[in-house]
Amino acid sequence: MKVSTFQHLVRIREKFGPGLFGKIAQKLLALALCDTGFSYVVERGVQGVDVDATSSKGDKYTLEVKTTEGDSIYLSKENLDALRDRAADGYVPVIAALRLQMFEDWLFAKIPLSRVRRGSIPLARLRAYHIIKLEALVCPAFEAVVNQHFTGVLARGERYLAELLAQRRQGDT
Amino acid sequence: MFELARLKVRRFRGFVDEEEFVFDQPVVLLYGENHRGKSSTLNALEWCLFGDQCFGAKTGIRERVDWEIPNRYVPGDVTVTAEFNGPDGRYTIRRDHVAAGRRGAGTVTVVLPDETKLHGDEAQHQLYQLFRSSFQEFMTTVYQHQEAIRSILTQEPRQRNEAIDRLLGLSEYRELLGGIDKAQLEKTEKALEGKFENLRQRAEQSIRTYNNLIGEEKSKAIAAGIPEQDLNQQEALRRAKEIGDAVERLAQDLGLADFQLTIPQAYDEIAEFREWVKTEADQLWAKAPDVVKQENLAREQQDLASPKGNYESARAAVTKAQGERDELVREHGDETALITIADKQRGKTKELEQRIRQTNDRANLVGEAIQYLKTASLGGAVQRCPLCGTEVPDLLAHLESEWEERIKKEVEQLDDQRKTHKSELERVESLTKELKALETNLDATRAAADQSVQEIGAALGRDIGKEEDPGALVNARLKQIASELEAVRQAIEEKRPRIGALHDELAQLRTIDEIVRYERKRAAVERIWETTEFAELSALRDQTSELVEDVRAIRDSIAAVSREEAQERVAAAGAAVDGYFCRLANHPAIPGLLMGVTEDTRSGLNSYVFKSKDGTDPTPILSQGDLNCLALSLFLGLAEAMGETQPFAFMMLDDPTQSLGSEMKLQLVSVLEGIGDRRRLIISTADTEFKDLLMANITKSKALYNFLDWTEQGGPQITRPS
Repeated sequence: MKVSTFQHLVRIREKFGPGLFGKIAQKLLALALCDTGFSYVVERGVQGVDVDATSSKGDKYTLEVKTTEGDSIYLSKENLDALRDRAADGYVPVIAALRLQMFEDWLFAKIPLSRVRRGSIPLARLRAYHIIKLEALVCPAFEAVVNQHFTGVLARGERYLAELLAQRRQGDT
Repeated sequence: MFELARLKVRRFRGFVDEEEFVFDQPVVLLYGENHRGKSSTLNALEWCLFGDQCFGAKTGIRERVDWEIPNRYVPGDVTVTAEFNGPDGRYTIRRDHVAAGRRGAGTVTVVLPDETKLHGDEAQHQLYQLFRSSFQEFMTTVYQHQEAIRSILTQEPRQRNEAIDRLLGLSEYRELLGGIDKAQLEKTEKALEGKFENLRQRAEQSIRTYNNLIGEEKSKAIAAGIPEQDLNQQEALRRAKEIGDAVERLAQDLGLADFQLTIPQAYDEIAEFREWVKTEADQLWAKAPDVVKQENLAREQQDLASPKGNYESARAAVTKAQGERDELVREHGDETALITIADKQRGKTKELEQRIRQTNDRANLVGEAIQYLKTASLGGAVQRCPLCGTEVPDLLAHLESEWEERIKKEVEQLDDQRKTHKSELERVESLTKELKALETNLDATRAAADQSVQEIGAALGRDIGKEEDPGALVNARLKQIASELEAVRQAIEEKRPRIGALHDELAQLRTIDEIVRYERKRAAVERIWETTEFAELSALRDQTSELVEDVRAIRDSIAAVSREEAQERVAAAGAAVDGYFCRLANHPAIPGLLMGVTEDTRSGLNSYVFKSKDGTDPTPILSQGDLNCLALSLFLGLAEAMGETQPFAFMMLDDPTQSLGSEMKLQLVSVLEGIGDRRRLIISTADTEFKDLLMANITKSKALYNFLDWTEQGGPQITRPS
């Protein structure tokens, strides 16, 4: 991730705090997935897995989105159960982690759920399972989305992005 | 199944000369105090069968880590021979170890019932074919090690779990897991992550520093009147061209026709250009005719100032010296007059000296006459003095006194006059000297004045005639220089703003250049993550993570397999273990023992859980004796679970009664009586009570080897009573 993009994200986090920043990052990621060519993207703000995304080729991913400033993320039992549920529906369970530090980028990890326990997971562990192709596709799109909507997000926060996603859905239908 | 028939041991550990043990009875007891060679006897059989498998860290037995095979006191080749009665005859297994080296597998030889002799790998392969048993199986079902019981007699759960793993034959898994942990791959991974983090922090710090520097320079630029939109490379190049043109124009105006300049075409050339222009502009200015003229005039002005000052000082000195000389002459006369006065005074002095001498001569003459008259005795009557006219009784004495008085007065008067003339003479001589000194000084100041005139001439570059006034000549030239300097100064002042403007332009270019330079450096840091090196490092980091995760998966698998095997063994032997434990411990509060295996969540290793059949946790009430019973029960239970699949028709127990009370010992004897129906027993013990209980209660026939003593040079002293 470019430093300028990182600095945009830092400003968003500084304005809205870590909690809301996580939700904003999730929505920005959902928009990036839309822009990357995923034909069907569902972003859940409340319960269940955070994002489902189906590519035009039929690849189905279910993403548990986590943001952190440290070197690990926390996975709850609910997070794991939700991923297992979606995996049972044919989705590839993925942990999408963004470490908000310079030179870091989204990490999409297809870690076998049997190898994950609830609790803290070092990002280094996730890196062993990262999906390089998906990252190469989504990360540049995410940067573009951040830079494109930075002003709007800074002004109106999560709501601005929720409206954008709603517009995308309407466009799809 | 294979029965052990005979064992011969030579130079193995504490053994020296060959000792032979014959296992011709269902129960063979090895009895004696500690350190007599009982355990070594059992170990010898183990080494004979399994070689280097039975020592080292992999065994899970601490005592076996640095185990020594050869006798350390009496060196020599080690030989252990074991004879087995197998289903189709006698098998002889012999293992040799040459004296060199303290540890080792040795070489094995197997002699089959048909006298076929096999060596080396072939013999080793035959051993496996015969027994199909590993050292771990042997240790868990045939040979109860005293170390196994010692290890379990601990209250520390981790160590007890380790001991039970060993009793179940799962030490190798534990060793593997320990080895993986010792590699500390996660620590290495963390260190790598730390380096990444360090790189990131340093980059972040650099960017912050550049941001500050850029901010400061921009503020300066804006304060200097540079519009913010001009703070870029293009503007820097444009300004560099303008400066170049201005320098060229200035060079032309200064009359420097041969001046040449290269205008930068690319941004990277600007820094060099700036430095070049800064140096060249100063040199250009220095070469300008007006500046050169100004410097020359200033130098001439300075060159004249010194002789002018010298001349004026010299003139003042001459005037002063002349005045002093003239004043002396005026007051005291010139040298001739002074000489005349001196000569006069000198003459008068001499004259007075002459008169004094004459007066003295006359006084002497009169004195002598009076003396003569005294000798002629002319005195006596009162007479009138011819000198003073008074009547005196002794005229001669009176005359003598009067004469002396008169002469004294006369001489004194003359001497006073002489002194006066002498003093005057000295004063005149002093004035003469002073006059000479003043004249000498006057000559010197005049010479100095002449010298300063010559200096002025040299400074003016011409000869100065006698009729000319050097001071006026110098002043006239200095006035002319001042006038010329003023003209040059005005000419320079007219051009100076152009140089000043050039310097200002250069300063602004420098500011823009600095900003652009910092921005480029910042951009270079920001692009680190896009570099090939960073990509390679990231790939390396990914590979490390993958390696660590793979090893973690392997570790988890090993731990899972270890747990599954533990569960299988516990399940197979559980009932037997429970049975043995109840019989041996006969604990009133533990109606039965259930054993389970779980995962230690922290280490991933096997963790053994014991429960009483009434659901309570028995571990807090287990005594050392109970734990010993537990260890024996595990061993006996596992051995029983192996049943007929186990190739050896004997069982070896080494010091099984370590913490047992008398009742427990009796129970153990009872248990062994039952086992003795199925297997031959070889029991090593230092416990006299236990030995006596065995001898009294075991109904099978028994043989007893007494280990009486042990010495370094003689080894164990063993007897077998008939």
